[in-house]
Amino acid sequence: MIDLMDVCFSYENGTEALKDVNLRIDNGDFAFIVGSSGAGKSSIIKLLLRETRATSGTVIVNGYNLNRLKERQIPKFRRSIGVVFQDFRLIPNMTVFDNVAFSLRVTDASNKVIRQQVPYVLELMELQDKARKYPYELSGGEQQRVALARALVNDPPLIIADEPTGNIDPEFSYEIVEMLRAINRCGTTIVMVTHEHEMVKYFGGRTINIEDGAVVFDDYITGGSNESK
Amino acid sequence: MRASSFRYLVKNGVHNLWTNRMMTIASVGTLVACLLIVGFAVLFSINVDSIVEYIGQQNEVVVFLELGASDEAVESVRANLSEMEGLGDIEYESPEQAFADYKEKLGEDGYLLDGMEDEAAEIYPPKFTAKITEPERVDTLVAAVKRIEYVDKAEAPTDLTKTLVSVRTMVNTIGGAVIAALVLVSVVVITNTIRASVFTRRKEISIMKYVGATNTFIRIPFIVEGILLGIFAALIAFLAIWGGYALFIGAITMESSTWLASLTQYLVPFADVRLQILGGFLLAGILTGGIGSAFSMRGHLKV
Repeated sequence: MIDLMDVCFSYENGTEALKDVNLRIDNGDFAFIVGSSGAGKSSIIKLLLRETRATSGTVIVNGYNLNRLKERQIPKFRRSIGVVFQDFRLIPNMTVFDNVAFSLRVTDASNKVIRQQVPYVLELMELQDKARKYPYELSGGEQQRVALARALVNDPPLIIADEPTGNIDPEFSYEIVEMLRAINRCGTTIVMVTHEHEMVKYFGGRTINIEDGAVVFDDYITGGSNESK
Repeated sequence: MRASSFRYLVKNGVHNLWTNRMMTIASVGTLVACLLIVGFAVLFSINVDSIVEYIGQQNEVVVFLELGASDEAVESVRANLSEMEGLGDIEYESPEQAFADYKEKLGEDGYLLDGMEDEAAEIYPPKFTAKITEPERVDTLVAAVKRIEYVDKAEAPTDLTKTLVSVRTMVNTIGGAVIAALVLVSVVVITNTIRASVFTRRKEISIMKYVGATNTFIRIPFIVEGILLGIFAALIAFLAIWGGYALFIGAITMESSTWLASLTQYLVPFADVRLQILGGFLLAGILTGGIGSAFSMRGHLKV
């Protein structure tokens, strides 16, 4: 569950990135956050991941009050969310298996759990044949599926996807979103930031539009518009 | 932390040595060069010190007791001398012994002294000869010896001793300063090499942070890597310095006709300092590698 209350955020150089944002995303929701570049989407992600703190207001994610979170509590908090980035952020010198396993390693999971969970998640993402490959041997779509597997393996209640389709060929973009929706149907909350309006129209659902640091639209839209395909 | 997690992190550190092998070679190379320079400087200093000390120890203080001093007096002086710090082996020469030596020296004319044996104690004072082990304190030592009861005279070649002492002090001070400077330069160079290595992997570190790794979890492989680098470098430097020293001594010994050859007997054999050098290298390698890694990471952990 995500709750932003009267959140303002300014960068150190004084740029006001978010102005009085109020936003609530309940458990089990699937929300798109859209907006043009520079609108404040990445600032929201930075706040949700506790990369930075809000200048004022309250940010609550998975029951953690991020304004009051101490430095040493950050790792524990981040384990409660799965993150997918536009540039995949896989560890280059680790195999697909080890990249996914790393997420479990940081939680001090036993080898037994790792040997059970990782192949299971890789199979879900249809990556079972790629387990021994390195990220540079994979296509963009495959790398993003590895990132998704890594985000999933801990079974987090919330997955944050920051432009997950930005570096992927369009035909695979829809596949990634389909996967996110399938995950959502199993009860995981999904927040996906994107600037691809066409895709949002195609899938529909809760859409939050941010412009100029403020929420200008927040409602459910009907999907099915298929003109981009 | 589970044992299996710890093993994983250690394995990761070893694995990283290989995946980042260019950086590994650069760091080990730098560390070896620094250890070698410092090692040779230390060996040079130890040897000069050993030569000077050896020459210095050839000094003796000669102590004459009052003429006709009793046996008790001799024993009391002996006890005083052997308790004194800065003095080594003590030899005693009785008046009878001195008389006999002199008589022998006269050779054929020795008969002239016949019948005077009983008066030996009135001619020769009892005499002690003591080695000086702390030549830098020769003045105070002689003064202290002179204050002992029954002692009549104490003599030592103070000028030579003083020169030797000042040479030794100079070698130690300059050597120490040069070594300290080299150590400082080495630490800077090594820290920079490790920092460069960490910098090339800052992305990896930030990814780990996003996945929820604690700082300790990220640090352990880097520290393992640093320590292993240090051990490799120490072993390579040790073998190199061993070989280099053997070659050096071999080269000097070959020059048997020159004065250099006579120096070899005062040189410290490598076997005497082998363990200290290996230990020092390992300690320096492990500390700079481990602490260097830990410190170089600090800035990158704030994500």
